[in-house]
Amino acid sequence: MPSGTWASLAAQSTAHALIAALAAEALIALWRARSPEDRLRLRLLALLIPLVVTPALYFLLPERREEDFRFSFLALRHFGALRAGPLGPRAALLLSGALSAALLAVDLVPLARGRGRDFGRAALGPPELLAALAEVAAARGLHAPALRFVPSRAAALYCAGVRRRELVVSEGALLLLDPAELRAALGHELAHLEAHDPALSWALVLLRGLLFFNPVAQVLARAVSRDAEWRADERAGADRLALASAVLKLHRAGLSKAPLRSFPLARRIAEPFRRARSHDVAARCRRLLEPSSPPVMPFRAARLALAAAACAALAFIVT
Amino acid sequence: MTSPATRDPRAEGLRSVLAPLAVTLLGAALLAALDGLPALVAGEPRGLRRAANLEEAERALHARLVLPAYFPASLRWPPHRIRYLVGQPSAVALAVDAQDGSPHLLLAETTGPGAVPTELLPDAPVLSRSPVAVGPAQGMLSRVVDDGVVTLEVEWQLGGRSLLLRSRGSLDELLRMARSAREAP
Repeated sequence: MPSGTWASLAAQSTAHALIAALAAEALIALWRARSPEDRLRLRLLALLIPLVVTPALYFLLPERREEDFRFSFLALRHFGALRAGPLGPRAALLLSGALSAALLAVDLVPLARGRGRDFGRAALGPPELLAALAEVAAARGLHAPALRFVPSRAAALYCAGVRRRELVVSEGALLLLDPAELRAALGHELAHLEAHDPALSWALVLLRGLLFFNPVAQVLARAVSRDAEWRADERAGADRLALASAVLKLHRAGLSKAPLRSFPLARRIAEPFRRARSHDVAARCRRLLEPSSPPVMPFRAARLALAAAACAALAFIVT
Repeated sequence: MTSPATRDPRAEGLRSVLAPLAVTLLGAALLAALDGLPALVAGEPRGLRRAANLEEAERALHARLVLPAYFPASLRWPPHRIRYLVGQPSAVALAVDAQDGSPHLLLAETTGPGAVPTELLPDAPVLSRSPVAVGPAQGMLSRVVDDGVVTLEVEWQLGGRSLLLRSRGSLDELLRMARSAREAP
């Protein structure tokens, strides 16, 4: 591997993330972890390995990088001698970094565009929306969060806010969803707020920014986001078919927006990502068609501690 | 799928412990196997490493290298291939080409007591051996067949380490190089 400190750290970070991700997936399979909460925690744990364990090992135990370190099972620097065609180790690392940055941009650019989008002035929500929200919140034993109704034809229904939590619902979403679907979608968003998912998503953005060079961490973070969606689906406590229908309608409304015209190949480049998003939505709907929530795995705290130890041990022997 | 109610708690407890253990052990075994890949691709014995330059080899071996102070102008510096082995003893081999690009010289040395590991030396049947003085030390001069070419080789000890020079040049050049060997400044 390249000998520079940062290049070497980036290589270790990527390798550790890959190994931790594979270990987490193996444990998900061996433990038959079917609940989204279990999967989310195991994947989040794998994501923390390159963020916490890799720099700690790298800077606190520099002897791991020595040639005669006896616990080194896989020394990445030895792969520096390998060349894949014209690609040297530094070029391979740059390529991996570029892929990672592209994965980050694919998610951050729409987020930035969404935040900058002008929905028009927030207005007082229609009575039927306020009533539906009060009903869904009461059914969950919660106070209804602040509601921001936006008189826009674009279909938007999401929650936001870390300290001041709010629900954003657009006029377009109200027109699109029938009452059962609206209640199911509100239940889903309240489940997000209950689980502090807006804070989780900001933490994931920060983490992805810090690990901008690590493609495995980018993929893992997306998997954690998907698990958070799945968890909110399971905790929505609503008519599952209505929720599936609402998810599908909102997704289709998002797809039918005007195509990107910013540069010539934008549409062709965006297509695979659009397909991936559609695939995620299809998977969510399939799960919602199943009748009951999957069981939570027993001894979860102990299992997570053991999984963390296993991932850290594997990271320790990859130098 | 077994429902949680019907799962045996003892089996679940055992699964909780055994699964991470299995993942760690299997992962370690796979990583160790993967570690052998660079050597396999390069067609070299396991454990043999390549260094890009002398400094990298010295860092890896935690030792300064002994190099000949006399270096004929007909040879091309730096060495075109540096390979090293970490072990008991650790050792390094430098392959130096002539200015025309043909292989000319091999310098191998250990960083401590013990013979130069055979993994670092290409097979070379010995034709004859005779003692030779390398400065104050007693060395052994051999005629060997290296890659079909009769080559001169001298082995001696210096400061607790073993050194070996194998050259396609003249005897005089080989001995002058050997006698001028000292730790790099």
